[in-house]
Amino acid sequence: MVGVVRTVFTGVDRLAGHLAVAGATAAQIALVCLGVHLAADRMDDDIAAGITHLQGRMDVWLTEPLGGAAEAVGLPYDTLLVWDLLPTAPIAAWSALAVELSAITLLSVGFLLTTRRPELSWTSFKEALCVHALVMPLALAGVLVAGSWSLAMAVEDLLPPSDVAIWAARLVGAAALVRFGWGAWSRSVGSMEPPRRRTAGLASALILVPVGLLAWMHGAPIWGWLV
Amino acid sequence: MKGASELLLCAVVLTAAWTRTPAGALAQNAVALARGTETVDMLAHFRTELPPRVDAALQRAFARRVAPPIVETTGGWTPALTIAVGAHLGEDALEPLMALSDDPEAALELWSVGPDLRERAITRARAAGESHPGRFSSHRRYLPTQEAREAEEVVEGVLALATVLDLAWPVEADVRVSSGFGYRTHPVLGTKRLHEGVDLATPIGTPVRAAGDGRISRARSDAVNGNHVIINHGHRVTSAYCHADKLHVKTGATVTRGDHILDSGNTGRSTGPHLHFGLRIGGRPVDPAPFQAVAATPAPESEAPPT
Repeated sequence: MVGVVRTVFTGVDRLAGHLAVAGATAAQIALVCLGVHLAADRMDDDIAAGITHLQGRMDVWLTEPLGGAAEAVGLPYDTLLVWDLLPTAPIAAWSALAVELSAITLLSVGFLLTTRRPELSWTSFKEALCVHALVMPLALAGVLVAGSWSLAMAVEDLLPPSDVAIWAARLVGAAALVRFGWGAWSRSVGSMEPPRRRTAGLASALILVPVGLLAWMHGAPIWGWLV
Repeated sequence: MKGASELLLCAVVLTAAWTRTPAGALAQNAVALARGTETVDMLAHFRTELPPRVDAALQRAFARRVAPPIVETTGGWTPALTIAVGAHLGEDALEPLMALSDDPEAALELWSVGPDLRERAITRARAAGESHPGRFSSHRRYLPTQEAREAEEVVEGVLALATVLDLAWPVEADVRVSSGFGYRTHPVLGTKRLHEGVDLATPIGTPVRAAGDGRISRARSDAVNGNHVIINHGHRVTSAYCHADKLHVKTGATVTRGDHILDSGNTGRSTGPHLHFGLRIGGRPVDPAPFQAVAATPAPESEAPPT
């Protein structure tokens, strides 16, 4: 009996060994997906509120000039009137989805396409210093923390409510953060190349800064304890 | 053993991302397309528009609004809410729902997701530092995707219906409808298009009252609507009043049901004195005419001026 169990475990370990690199990389991307979605879900609401505000402004500043121009070329003016005509929820959801997929791509590229052996040191960070080097590590850290919490929530939701469920979920979240989160972060940060310009990463920062901020603000289950 | 546990952890993380993120839905769709099976909605992981069931429920609710109250109301339960529940969830749901909580929003959520999931979501929202963790809108995102969607349909659907049912007719109930809701040939443009409200034959200077409590989201003038007011009643319900002679409210003001908000007129693209009254739920225009049938009297006049 002991021999059978040992054989099974040995077999599983051997399989895990073969799948280790691919499996860990897939899990790292999955953790990024979970964390980015937590931030993007919040962004969806913020975009919807922004559209509503912008709609009010557009209404005041643009409707009449656009309407006048439309009438001049024979188009019906009232199709341009925007009192809640814009489908706010779908626009916000599609925008948040676009940001989410872009952020996942930007953050995953760091550890997927690296050819360097990761080297985490102050000297290598200074060599790589640029906008990307400042923004990416902070954003990725927030996203990974949010991802591990999202994972913990998913595990908790699968279990009947009890203290055991809460602690099991926390354990799984923490294990994923340590095993895959740290791996993803150290691979991304440790393999940053020296940039051609210090402004490198300015465009991607437009996506990573809000995603990172939202991940830290709403994806870390610590603020309730601190307040 | 270490390898096996790592493999298990990998599987858990991948399953969570597969089922709970749009990126997972994208991967599912890639597989579905390859297999020729049905794809999933990536936007299901975000907040949605009002559910389609509301349109049908609205018609049932209008029919019930003229009937006597179904049950005696207590706490935050208004007659409009009881009718909305009856129309949306069925009358059998009403008494068990009212027994769940005095707070209709909480009761509707409890009905939909149960106490455990709701409590978990509130705890999570509190941990994340949300300012009002008990509110559905604050803790919705901490519910599992499918349950959040179902709860949204129930909570927001019923509250939107109740908001609509609480609205009153903005002028005397016997004022003639000169042009109804629906497709018509436009009197000025001469083309066939949707008339997104009703035209009421009001003489110039007729007082027009707010159909319900809310905030003025627009009080201004343009070449088409003339002087007009739009009120946001909350729960994605808005009402519009166009072609006024004079406005008595400003954008951003709070009004209560029955406040005198404008005097009817003949401004903008209009062929004669009338009030255009429009109603939208979740951005979609609905026919406000059924209100006239149940509005035996216009909305009561408010003592206090709009703030």
